[in-house]
Amino acid sequence: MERSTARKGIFYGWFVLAAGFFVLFMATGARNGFGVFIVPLTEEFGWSRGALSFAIAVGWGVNGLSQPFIGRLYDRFGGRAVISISLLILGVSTILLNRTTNLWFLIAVYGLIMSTASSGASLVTIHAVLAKWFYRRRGLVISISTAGGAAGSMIMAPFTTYMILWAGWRVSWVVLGGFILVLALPLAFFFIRDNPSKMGETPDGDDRPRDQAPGVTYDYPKAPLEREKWQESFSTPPIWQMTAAYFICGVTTAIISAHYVPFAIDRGASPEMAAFAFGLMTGLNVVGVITVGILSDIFGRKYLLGIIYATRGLAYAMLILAPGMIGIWGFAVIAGFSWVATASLTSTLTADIYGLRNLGTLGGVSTLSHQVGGALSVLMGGVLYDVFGSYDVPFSIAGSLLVFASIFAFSIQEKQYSSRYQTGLARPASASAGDSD
Amino acid sequence: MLPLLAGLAHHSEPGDPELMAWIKDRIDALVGLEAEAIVIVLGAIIVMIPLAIMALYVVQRALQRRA
Repeated sequence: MERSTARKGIFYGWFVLAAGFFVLFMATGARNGFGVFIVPLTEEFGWSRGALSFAIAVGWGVNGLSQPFIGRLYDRFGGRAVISISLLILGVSTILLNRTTNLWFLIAVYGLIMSTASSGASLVTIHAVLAKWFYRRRGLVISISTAGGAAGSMIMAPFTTYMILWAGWRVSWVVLGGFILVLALPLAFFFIRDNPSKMGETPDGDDRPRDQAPGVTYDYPKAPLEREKWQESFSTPPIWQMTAAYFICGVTTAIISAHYVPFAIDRGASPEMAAFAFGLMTGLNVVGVITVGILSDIFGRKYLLGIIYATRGLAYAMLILAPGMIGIWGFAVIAGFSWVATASLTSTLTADIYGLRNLGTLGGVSTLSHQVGGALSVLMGGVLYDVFGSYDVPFSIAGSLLVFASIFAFSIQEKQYSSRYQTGLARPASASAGDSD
Repeated sequence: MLPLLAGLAHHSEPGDPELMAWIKDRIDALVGLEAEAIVIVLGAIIVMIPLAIMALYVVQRALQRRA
């Protein structure tokens, strides 16, 4: 497509991106901030950390398991409906948490309802929406939206901490839920559209191709491995390569999320220093994912994905082999840049290779593999620590797996299968699925 | 069940209690404000994001109509 030279005003897709950024900011921030409620809940009800961790684990598992189903709903009904309804349920369930009086209520509302609803307002659905609005700048845009989740966690967690100090945990749940209902939901409903044609636009705001008349729904070129049914995608190699690599991504991020701070303390870091290193790593997320997004639109996706996995492997090696705080800080800086960049690259590559028809479902399946890997690795970290008395063995296992993740990524035949490298792609006979506005 | 819970007992995500206690101490040392002031400042940042997006959209639509 030719870049538009006659455009007046801002391309509407940027508003879709802004809405997606804020949706992830709020949804991820509200859900990931559950940890700050652990102490006040423990003090009020006398629950153990293990019991509350069980609620977190249920939520994590439900969130992962629901992703493919939510992705399927997205493919069928579109992003605006799925994201808006999910935000409605997420906001109401968050407010409902202020009525918590027993652990099973918490598990039911947080672990089941809230965690399922947050699947609908997640990277899977937001990335799928943005993949329709952007083609030339797909990598950058999807990365910016991913940064929204990281930024949300950074802002919402301290906000919630101080809110609890000021007004108590019950009021804090109400405020968080209120923000979702009053701020995120209207923004999503007002701005998110499933197809640029609904707003008289084309992807990236480019000029409409000469063979397509204005006023008609834009026909996306069919991606090389785009299939009628999502299951048929699994008869091709790339989805297996990406899903296997993403599983390892889950292994290597979750184990750090759960065990990095105690590992650093074991290495001689003060709790403050360990927490700061982890916070630095989280902050570098935002810089890393946007940088990778810019580069991926220029250089392609698979090499960057492979390099990121390899870089994370080097960070793990540094963590385990370098002495004292050198390893701790080295890991925080190196791995920080790679932390969420894999999510945006995997989503973008999936869209490039498998098209938009079943992108929600395929993204959901990949995310499920990521969450399963994460759950297994957290358990592995705890169990092996108890057996060996240190984190060296579980971290070594996790780090070693990144060699395979890197190989899987490098071996994807991107030039053969990605629509970015194809010319003369056939256009589908009917409009894309999910155009329900 | 106990090994399962033991493995999950420490959860160092951004909402980890020890991390948040440290961040809170840093913020307190840096700005020295009361909790409600921090809530208002951060809350204002959170509220301003969607308002700014809406305002930008409304303004650019108005400019487009005038053009």
